[in-house]
Amino acid sequence: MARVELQLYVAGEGLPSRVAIANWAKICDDDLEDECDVEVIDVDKHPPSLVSESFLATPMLVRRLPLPVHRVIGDLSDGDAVLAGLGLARRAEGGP
Amino acid sequence: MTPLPSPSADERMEARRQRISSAPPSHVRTTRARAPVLIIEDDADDAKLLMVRLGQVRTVAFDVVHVSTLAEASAWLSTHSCELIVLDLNLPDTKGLEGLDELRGRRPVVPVIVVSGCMDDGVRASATSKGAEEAIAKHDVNGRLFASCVVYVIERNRAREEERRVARILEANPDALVVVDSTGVVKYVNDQATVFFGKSREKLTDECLLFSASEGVPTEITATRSDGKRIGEMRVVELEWQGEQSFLASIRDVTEQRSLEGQLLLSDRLASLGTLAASVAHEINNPLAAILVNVELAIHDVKGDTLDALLDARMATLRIREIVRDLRLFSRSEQNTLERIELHGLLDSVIRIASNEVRHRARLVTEYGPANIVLANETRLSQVFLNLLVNAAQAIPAGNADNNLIRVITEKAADGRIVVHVEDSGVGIPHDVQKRMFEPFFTTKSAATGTGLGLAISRRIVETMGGEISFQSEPGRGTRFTVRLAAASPAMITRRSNRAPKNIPSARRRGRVLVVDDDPLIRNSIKWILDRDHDITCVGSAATALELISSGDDFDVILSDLLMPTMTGMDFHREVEAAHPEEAHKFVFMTAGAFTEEARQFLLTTSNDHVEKPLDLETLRRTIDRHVTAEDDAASSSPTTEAFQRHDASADDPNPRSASERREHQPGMTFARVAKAVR
Repeated sequence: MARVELQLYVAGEGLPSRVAIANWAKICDDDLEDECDVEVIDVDKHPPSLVSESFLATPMLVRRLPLPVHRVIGDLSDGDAVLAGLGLARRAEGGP
Repeated sequence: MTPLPSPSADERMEARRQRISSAPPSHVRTTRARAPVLIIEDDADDAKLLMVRLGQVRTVAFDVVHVSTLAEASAWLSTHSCELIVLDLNLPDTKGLEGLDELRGRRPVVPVIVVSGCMDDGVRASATSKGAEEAIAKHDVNGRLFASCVVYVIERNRAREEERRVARILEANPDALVVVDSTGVVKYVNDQATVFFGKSREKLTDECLLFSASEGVPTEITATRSDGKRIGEMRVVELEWQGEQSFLASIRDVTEQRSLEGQLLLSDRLASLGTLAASVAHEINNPLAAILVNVELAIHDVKGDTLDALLDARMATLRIREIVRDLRLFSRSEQNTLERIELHGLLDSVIRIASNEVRHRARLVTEYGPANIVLANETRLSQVFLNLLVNAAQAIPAGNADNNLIRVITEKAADGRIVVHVEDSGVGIPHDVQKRMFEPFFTTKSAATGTGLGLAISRRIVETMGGEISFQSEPGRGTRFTVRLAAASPAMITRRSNRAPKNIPSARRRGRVLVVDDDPLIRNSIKWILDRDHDITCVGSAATALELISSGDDFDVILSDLLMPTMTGMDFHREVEAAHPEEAHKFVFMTAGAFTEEARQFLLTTSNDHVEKPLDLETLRRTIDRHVTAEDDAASSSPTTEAFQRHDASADDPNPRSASERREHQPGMTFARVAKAVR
C-alpha cells in the first residue's frame, strides 16, 4: 500500500476539537489494521502563515498522500464517510 | 376560473379577446391554474383555427388572447404575462423572424411556437436557433401534432420554471449547502457556501471533499477565511443526487450568535462575581470595623514594640478595607450609563486587584499625567484595564520580576482626549497574530487560561464609551496597549469621598447621639469611640429607634446603618421624615459597601451625610462633632442643612497627587512587616 500521510486540523482545545480527535482514535482502533499516524495541527497555535493548508475548515482530516488530496470536514463521527474519503480499507467499490 | 386581467386601455383588443373554455375531464388532475396563451396572427380564419385546436386539448385549459400585430402584442405583454406565445411569421408590421427576436427580448422565459404558411427546414432551423420552442407549418396546425406540441411546450416550460424556482431557493438559502457524492466529488455548491468557506465555486468543486458527522446531528465546524474565522453549525444528511448516493452538508453561520453567547456567559460570570463581592464586602466590613476601632483605641493606650505591632495591624486592616472597597467595582449592577470617573483612582483599584498576577512577574510603575476625569462607565472601564493588566502580566514569564516592568501611563492627547497606556516588557505578539488580536475566540492561551473574548469585549466596551483601543507590539520586546477615552470636565466627580474636611473644631458641648445598627459589635465600637465626647444611645433596630424619637427623646445626630433586616435605614429615614420632618436632617448613614441599586440611588440623591464602614475613627468623630456644632448654629440662627452637604473629592482628598507623580507599587511589603511584628 502506498504511503499514507494524514493531518488532522483542529482549532483550539474546545469540544469540537476533542470530539474529532477521539472519533479518529476510535476509527483507528475499530477499522484500520495498519497503523495510521496522523499529525494533529492546532491552527490557533500555528499562525495562519505557517499552516500550509490552503483550504481551512476545522475539524478537518486531510489525506495529503497519496494524491489527490482528500478532505473530510466534520467531527468524524461517521466512520464510513471518513474511510471513503480517505480511500482507505473498507472503501466503497470503485473508489479512487 | 380566474379571468385574465383586462387591458382596459385597449377596448379593441378586449373585443377580440375570446375565452376558450375547456374543462379537463375529471380523471385529469390539473395542479395549476389555466394557461394564458397569446396568439399573434393577422389572418382571422387562421386565428380561429388555432383557438379551436387549443380548445380541443384535454389536459390543459387555456385563456386565449388574440392580437393581429406585433405592436399590439408588445403593448399587451407590457402589462400581462402568459405561458405560451403562438407567433405567425407573416404579420403586417414585421417580417420573418424579427418578431421572434422582439418577443424573446421582451419575455425571455415565455416559450414561443412559430407558425408559417411557408415553413421549411431552413426557417425551422433559424427559428429554433433564435429560441423558438417549436416551428410548425400552417397546414400541420389542423392536426394532432399541434395540440400535443403545445401541451409538450407548456409542460416542459412549467418544469423548467419549477427547477428555476427551486434553484433560486437553494441559492438564496442563508445556510451554506454543499452536495458531495460518496467518493468526495462536489456536485453542488450554493452561494452561501462560497461565502462561508471564502472560496470560489470553481475552487470548491475542484476539491475532493467529504463531510463526516452523525446524520442530522449538528456539529460545530470553523472555517478560516482570510478575513477571519467563521463558526458554523453543520448538519449532514444522505440524499440521492442524479441517481447516486450523496451527502448534503448544510452549514449555518453562527459566529455572531456564539460571540453573543460567550459575552453573555462572561457577563453572567461577572454578575455573579458582583453579587459575591457585594455580600463578601458586607460580611467583612462589619467585623473589620470592630477590629479597626479597637486597634485604634489600643494604639492610644500603649507604647513601644506593642505600639509598632498595633500600627502594623492597623495598616494591614486598612489594606483589607481597600481591597474590599475595590471589589465593589464589580458589584455595581450592569449599566451602560456614562459617568464622570476619576481615572487614577480607578486605575489604582484595578492595579491592586491585579497585583497578585503582577507581582511575581514584573514591577509595576504608574506615571500619571495631570488630566484625570474621564467620561466612562466605572465597572466596565475597570473590566477593560483589569484585562489589559492581566494580559500584560501573562506576557511576562514568572520569576524575573526585578528585570521586568509594567508601566501604566496616563496623558492628555492633543485632541483633548485622555490616553492610557498599559505597557509591558513581555514576549510581544508575533506579527501574524497581531491582526487577529481583537477577533472573538482568538486566543493563544490554553482553554483553561483564556476564552479569547477578553480583548474583543474590551474593544466593544471602549467603543461604546466613544473611545478607541489599539496596540503596538514588537516580538521579544513587549507590547503597549493604548486606550483613548473622552475627557470630562472636572466640575463634578461621581466617585464621592466621605472624608470630612479638616479643621472642624470639636463640638462645644456633649451631643446626644442615637446609634442604630443591628450588629452589636458595631454598636459597641461606636460607643467606645464617641463615649468620651458625647452621650450615646445604642439600639439594635430601626423600630426601637422610631419609638424613642416618637416618645420625644431629642437627639443631635441619628447615626443609622443603611442596610438592616426588617426595616432598612432608608425606610427608617422615610418614616421619620413623615412623622417628624424636623428630625430628618439629623441622619448620618453608615454603609458597609453592599450597595443595592436602591441604596446607591438613595445615597446619590439624599442630602444627608454618610460614613463608610469600616469606620475611620477620626472621620466618625469629626462628622459627629460637625453635626452637633451645626445643630447649635441652627438653633442660634436660621435653620440650615448646608453644613451637611457632602464635599467634593478634589477638595478634601488628603493625598493630592502632583502631576506626573511616579510611584512604585509594592503591595507585598505591608504584610511582610506585619508577619515579622507578630513573630
